[in-house]
Amino acid sequence: MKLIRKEYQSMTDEQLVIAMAGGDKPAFDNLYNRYSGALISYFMRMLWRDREKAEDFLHDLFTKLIHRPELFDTNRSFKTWVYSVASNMCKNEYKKQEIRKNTSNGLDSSYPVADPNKNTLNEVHHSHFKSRFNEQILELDVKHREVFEMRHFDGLSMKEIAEALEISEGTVKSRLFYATKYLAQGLKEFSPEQTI
Amino acid sequence: MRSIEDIILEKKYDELSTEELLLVNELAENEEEFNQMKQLFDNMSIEFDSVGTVEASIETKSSLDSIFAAKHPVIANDWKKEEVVEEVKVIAFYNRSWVRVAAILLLFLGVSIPFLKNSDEIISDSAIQQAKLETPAETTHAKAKNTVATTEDLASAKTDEKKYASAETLSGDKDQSEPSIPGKVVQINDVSLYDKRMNVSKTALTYQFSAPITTFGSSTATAAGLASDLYPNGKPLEAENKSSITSEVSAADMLDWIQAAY
Repeated sequence: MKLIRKEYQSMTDEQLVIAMAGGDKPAFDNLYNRYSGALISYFMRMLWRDREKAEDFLHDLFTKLIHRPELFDTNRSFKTWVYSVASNMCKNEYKKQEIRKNTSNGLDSSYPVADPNKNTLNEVHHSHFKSRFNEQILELDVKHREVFEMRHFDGLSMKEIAEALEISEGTVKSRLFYATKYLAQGLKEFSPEQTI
Repeated sequence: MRSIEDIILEKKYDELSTEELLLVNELAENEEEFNQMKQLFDNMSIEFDSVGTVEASIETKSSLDSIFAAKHPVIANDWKKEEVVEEVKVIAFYNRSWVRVAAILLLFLGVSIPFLKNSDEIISDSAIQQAKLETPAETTHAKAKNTVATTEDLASAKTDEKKYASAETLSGDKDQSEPSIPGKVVQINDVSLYDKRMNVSKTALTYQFSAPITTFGSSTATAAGLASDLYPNGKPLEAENKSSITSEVSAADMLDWIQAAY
């Protein structure tokens, strides 16, 4: 009989979820380390750069996973599943904001909230393009924005985006092209020809 | 396969192949649009780096840890311990001792059965040969006996009474309380006794016996039957010459000896 240490690093996401569901704490830690960064970035982008809100959403998502791991279908990819959950959470938040907006004091809730953890020095370097980019991307429709961000910020493939958002790959492609064209058109002042 | 984004980032519009141009045309219809896209992706790559550094706070993690501990209290109490998993030793089917023993036995049987079969064949061959050697005499005997049986049945029916009478006469025991039975006659007619003890020929005996017995020997069928009775294991060689042998013992002496034998 031989005793071996579990190799969590080599385990797949799906295996980690199964282990976590059985009460395996290191499995949960590994899963958290794999996705917490990407998800908080996603939430920040989707929720108007609000870090506090992004942290709350990340907390809620993992709490759901701890309490009801059976919600995850092991036949699916965990990555696409977790992004679909995150996307739905954001959509629900948009609906809430929409209701609040109608009853608000006129403040624009979609205005990016300043992140205290942001490195201001880096912002100086990229401030002009970044601010314009953020403005431009927020002008995009949510369905186009999320596809664009999932593709370029989270590194998901067309297929994964399609699975996460439960739409066809063709729809993902067309949305992505539309968003890219829109942004390129809006930021054409940063192209070499325009700057000369 | 490279994506359109990769092509736009890596190549200039003039360097695009026909296939790449077809792909890029979905996103950028002309060189101006292509360059806009290129610039967008270049600038975005900087944005990706800055966004990618975001990490969740420790408070979020510690809160989730407490939730996990509440959900799985028993396991979570000592989660800091090294995780050990018991590895069950998996023995392949063919590596199990009983399979090996069975395989050896099968191999041994497989090898030894042909040899055993051959030895059986050898034994049966020798038995057949022996049987063949024995069969001619037995067959003759059986055939003769069958022939005789039919003849004997007819003859015996007619001559039974005479046989009994002659037997009684031959035995000379007229005061014998027991009635004469055919079995007794047969015993008396068992000439092998004479052959063995007295070296007396069948012919001589037949001659000495009464008339029915003489007629018994006249028929070839009955003679064969008698011969088969006399020589169940085949006719001995000297029996052929027995006709030429003459008895030196009188019938009366012989009957005395027979009686003494019983």
